[in-house]
Amino acid sequence: MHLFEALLPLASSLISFVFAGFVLKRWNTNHRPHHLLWGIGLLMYAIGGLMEALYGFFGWHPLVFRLWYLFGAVLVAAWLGQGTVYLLIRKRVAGVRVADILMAVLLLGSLFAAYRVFSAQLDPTRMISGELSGHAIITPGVRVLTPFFNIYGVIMLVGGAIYSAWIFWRKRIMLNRTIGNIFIAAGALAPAFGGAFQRFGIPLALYLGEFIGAVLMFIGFLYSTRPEMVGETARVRQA
Amino acid sequence: MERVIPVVLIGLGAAALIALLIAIYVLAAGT
Repeated sequence: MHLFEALLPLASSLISFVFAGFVLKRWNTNHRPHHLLWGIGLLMYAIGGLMEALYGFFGWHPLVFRLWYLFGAVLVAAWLGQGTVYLLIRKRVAGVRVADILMAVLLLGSLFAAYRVFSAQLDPTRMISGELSGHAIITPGVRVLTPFFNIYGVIMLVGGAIYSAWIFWRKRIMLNRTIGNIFIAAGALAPAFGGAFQRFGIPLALYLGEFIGAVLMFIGFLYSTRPEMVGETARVRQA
Repeated sequence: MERVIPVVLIGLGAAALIALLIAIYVLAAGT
């Protein structure tokens, strides 16, 4: 058993489950699609972490690996990013919301990825150290799907958070949302870099990136959604 | 605060671009 490689993702998973609960509770009251998509994305984040922890505690199991790879490596960033798409893109083309079109593409892409991941041949001896990694997938054409989803996720989630932070900052309103979005952008980048470093062979980079990402995004969400303190904006204006 | 936030946002934007470039590199490498 690799204790640290199990406890670190377990912590990420617990934080993400709680975080998802907060977000889905909001969706339950206001039924806005971005909360639902973020909630689903965070559940994927939590499942990914849980699978890493199960692998750390109990060792290799193909189902654990497939669930981890599908939710934790391929889909999570894109589904979180899709939430931001619903929040920020209101444009319509021929009467149809662009966000709905992108959602349909993401859904089809996700189903295709699920099929490919669950039908792929695996070899756990190809993984380095005690971490789960995509190296275990032998079947060609599966791992190559991941960057497409992650590029979409980074552009939408990180780009959307930076854009939102900038808009609130420029208008000098709701400073809490500027700071909250900065935390969210930084948190979303952490697993992206962790995953990249893991691909280049740095141990624990992904798990650490995911943990830092979960913590920073949760702080960002709590900061963004707290009521603005009286006089906060005024103080920024004076600064 | 007035100067820090724009610098932080530019830094995050640069980091996001680097993350994208890495993802595109991974894609091009076909791994």
